[in-house]
Amino acid sequence: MTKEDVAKLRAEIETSLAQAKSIEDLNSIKVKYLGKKGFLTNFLKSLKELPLEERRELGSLLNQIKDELEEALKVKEREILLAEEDKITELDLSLSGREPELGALHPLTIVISEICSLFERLGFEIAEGPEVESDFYNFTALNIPEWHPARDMQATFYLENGALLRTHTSPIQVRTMLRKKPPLRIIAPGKVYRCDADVRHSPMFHQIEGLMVDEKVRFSDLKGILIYFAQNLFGKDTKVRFRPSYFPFTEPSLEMDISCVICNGRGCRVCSQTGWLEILGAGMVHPEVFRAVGYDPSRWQGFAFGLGVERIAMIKYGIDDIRLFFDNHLYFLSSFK
Amino acid sequence: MKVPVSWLSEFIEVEEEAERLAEIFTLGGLEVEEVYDHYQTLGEIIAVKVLEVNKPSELKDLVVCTVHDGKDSFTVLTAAVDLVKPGQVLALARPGSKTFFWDKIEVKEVKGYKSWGMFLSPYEAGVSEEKDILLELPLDVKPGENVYKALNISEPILDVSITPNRGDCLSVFGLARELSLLTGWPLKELRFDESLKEGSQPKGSIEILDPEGCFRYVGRWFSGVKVAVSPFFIIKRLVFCGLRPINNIVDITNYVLLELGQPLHAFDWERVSGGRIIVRRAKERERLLFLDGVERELSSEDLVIADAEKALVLAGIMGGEESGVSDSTQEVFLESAWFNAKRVRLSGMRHRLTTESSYRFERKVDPEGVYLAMLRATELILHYANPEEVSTIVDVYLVRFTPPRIELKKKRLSAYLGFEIPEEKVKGILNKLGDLEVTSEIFILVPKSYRQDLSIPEDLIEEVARVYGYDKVPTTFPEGVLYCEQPLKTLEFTQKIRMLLAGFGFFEVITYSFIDPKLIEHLNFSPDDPRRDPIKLENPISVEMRVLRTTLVPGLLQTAHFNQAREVESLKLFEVGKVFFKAEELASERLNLALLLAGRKSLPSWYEEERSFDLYDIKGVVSA
Repeated sequence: MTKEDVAKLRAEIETSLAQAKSIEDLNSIKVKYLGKKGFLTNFLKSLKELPLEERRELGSLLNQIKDELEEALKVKEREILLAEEDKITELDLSLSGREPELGALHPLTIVISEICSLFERLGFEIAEGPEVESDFYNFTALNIPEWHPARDMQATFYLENGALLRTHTSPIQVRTMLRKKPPLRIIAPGKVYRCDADVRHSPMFHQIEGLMVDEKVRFSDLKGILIYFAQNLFGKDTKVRFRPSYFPFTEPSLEMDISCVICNGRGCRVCSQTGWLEILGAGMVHPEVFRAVGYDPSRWQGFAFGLGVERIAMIKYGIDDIRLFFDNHLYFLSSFK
Repeated sequence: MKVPVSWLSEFIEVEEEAERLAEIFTLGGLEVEEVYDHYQTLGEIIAVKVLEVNKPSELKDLVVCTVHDGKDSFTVLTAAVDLVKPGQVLALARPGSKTFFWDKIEVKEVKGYKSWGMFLSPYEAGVSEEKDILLELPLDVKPGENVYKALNISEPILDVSITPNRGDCLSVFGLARELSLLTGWPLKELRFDESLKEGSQPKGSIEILDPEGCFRYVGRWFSGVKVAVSPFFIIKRLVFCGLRPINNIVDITNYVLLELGQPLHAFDWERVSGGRIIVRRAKERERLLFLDGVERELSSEDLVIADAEKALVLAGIMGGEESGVSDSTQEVFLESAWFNAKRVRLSGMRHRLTTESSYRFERKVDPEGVYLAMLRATELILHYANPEEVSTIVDVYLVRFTPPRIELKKKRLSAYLGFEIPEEKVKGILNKLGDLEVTSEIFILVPKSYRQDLSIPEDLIEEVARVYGYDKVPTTFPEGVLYCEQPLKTLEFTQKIRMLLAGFGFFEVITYSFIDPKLIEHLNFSPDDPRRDPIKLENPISVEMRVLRTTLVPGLLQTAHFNQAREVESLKLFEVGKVFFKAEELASERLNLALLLAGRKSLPSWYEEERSFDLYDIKGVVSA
């Protein structure tokens, strides 16, 4: 090793430093010259082989280079970091970001989900049933014999093979009770079909059926459950009203109204000036239904209720034409993100 | 059912306004859909001042009146040439309105002279029976004012929705009885003079050959009857209830049907052969020309009223053309009977006929009311049809109706409802429903014959609760045994998929399960693909919705089409729903998922060019 070697090394280092553009470049320089196998380190090690006079002269030159290099690395690092910061502020932060687009669930799915959750919290399990049904499950087992005028209340679609499209979700009660032993609590959403079409009626719509059977189920319990439901879905100040009604598969039967959400009970077009909106039918399960499924009516009692999902969605979201749910216009669907 | 409050008031002391009555019925279980004033439904019927009366020579039997309605003057043509004078205030029905008898009023023109309405007689206005004069109002009535308001005439009507189990409420008296049960207001019981039962020798015989179809048939003969126009109060009430007046005999049968809920039928006795009334099954394929002009073929399941030769009436539903009462009828046979609800309904469904009469039989009429209705009809016929002779009543009552004996355990009543109703109150309610016996443990009730909806203890529980008031039932929360079931795997899975897709920017749609089979054809499936063979509907709501879908694709395509026609340029849609295939029993239902991408993937922005969706977008989502 000679003085010229050292001078060459210095020149090399200075060039590398000048060319360094990034932190990585600096790190490679560090490793190349100051690392365990770096040039400077090797030169310093090889000083041992030199005579004393040269050792001292070259040694001090090399150490000087080492110190200067370490200092220069620090300075250069700071320079580079500052330059990078400047680069960031060159960006225009007022530009929009690449927003991921969100879709949405259908409002009926949202309402069904909300209502089912309400009941799942109380220990109701979700049940399902076929949409194509038999006369037995849809009518006869529910105490609606073939010639009964109550069938006029539900215009039925018939299929070419004699089966029908279920007109309510109540058949699920029968199927579940035939499949399981009491006690039980189910909530059953699903599509139902009736031959009816206008602003408030669609030939296909959705209902949710609830059923609870146990040894000590009472009419007052039914009231309690329904009030819990109304207040959780529409707000805790919601007022409700119960009216006697008639269904062949419940006795006593009732219908529940909530105070009109549009006019707050004062009377308007939506509630036909009555101040009340009907939202569901319910009652204590009729003993004939228990007999049809093999439950002993003297031991078991139950209540059942059925509500129309579209109706509830229309009330909750202020929609006045049921057909909007099935037109599926994107602007309509987007309001439910 | 439409009920004039004034008619209701004949049977019960009504102490409230119509709106309040509506509320009482609704909260008692009979929903009142509407409360309205009948006269205000006719339209614009106003008072006008006659300014001038002219008789142009071209108009032979008409005069032109110039009238003023408070805002404008216009002309009205009328044939009442001698009755109109300037200065009168007359009742005018304007174009667009109706007379009391449903005649529509339109603008008319005769030889260039326009008539902007029609003067009404008191009859046409529904005010009185006078047909030959014009309805005049007091001179101080302001032109333009509604005629009925000016004359202080109103007729509040309740439109009550009667549930199928309450056939006993399908009459004015039945509703009065129900109102009395709900409020405690005194009911005027039906009372008939004993003399109404007297009469001469019956003119024929009555036989019941089908006791299952009919177990009580009451008949009576009226001779030398004067068929004529009914008295005005009967005409008015029929119109208020939506029925057309025909003649006094037919109108009286309809009046009693509305008033007491018992359908009656009147025969022209001279058209009945052999002097025999026979209640029997029809012969298979026996023919009958009905009152509506249609000849129909009957089945042996149909119940008919026949004479010695042929069927005359489809029992409980509609009478025959030939044996009906006409203007020339002088001998009348009147029927009041009990027909089997199920048989009447099945016959009605078979021939697609529903009448006021069949509607009531289907919902069960009162076996005791059958006889009372005959007495009421007799009363009215004697007054208004002036028969020369009346026979005694023939009552063929084969099997006495026995109501059930219902036992309700006191403990069960409170356990079922969840609270105790004071026993006095329970007894008070049950007492009104029939014969009540009370022991230490149970209530035993034999319901009245008109409450055929009561047969099991739970029916009594409902009666007690609803009359006492559902609002008085406390609110409790159910007690039960906790148990846990595994949630349905498909449900969790579909919820996850829905949420994922929404997160990817897709919108969920729900389309109809029924589609047009042509749309499946367009998808070009191979000939033996099961999706080409959808299940057909027997009674679709429209031709475009006549099969059950075997694929979700047509629904999505239609939705895309709908949106694109309304300038939606970018669509990312999905649907989770069932598709249907033929199966041995019912149908084979499968839950499917379908996705649709259409149009622009993104708007042009500073970071991206505008581009359309392509196959790789959908592939990407499906892989994810």
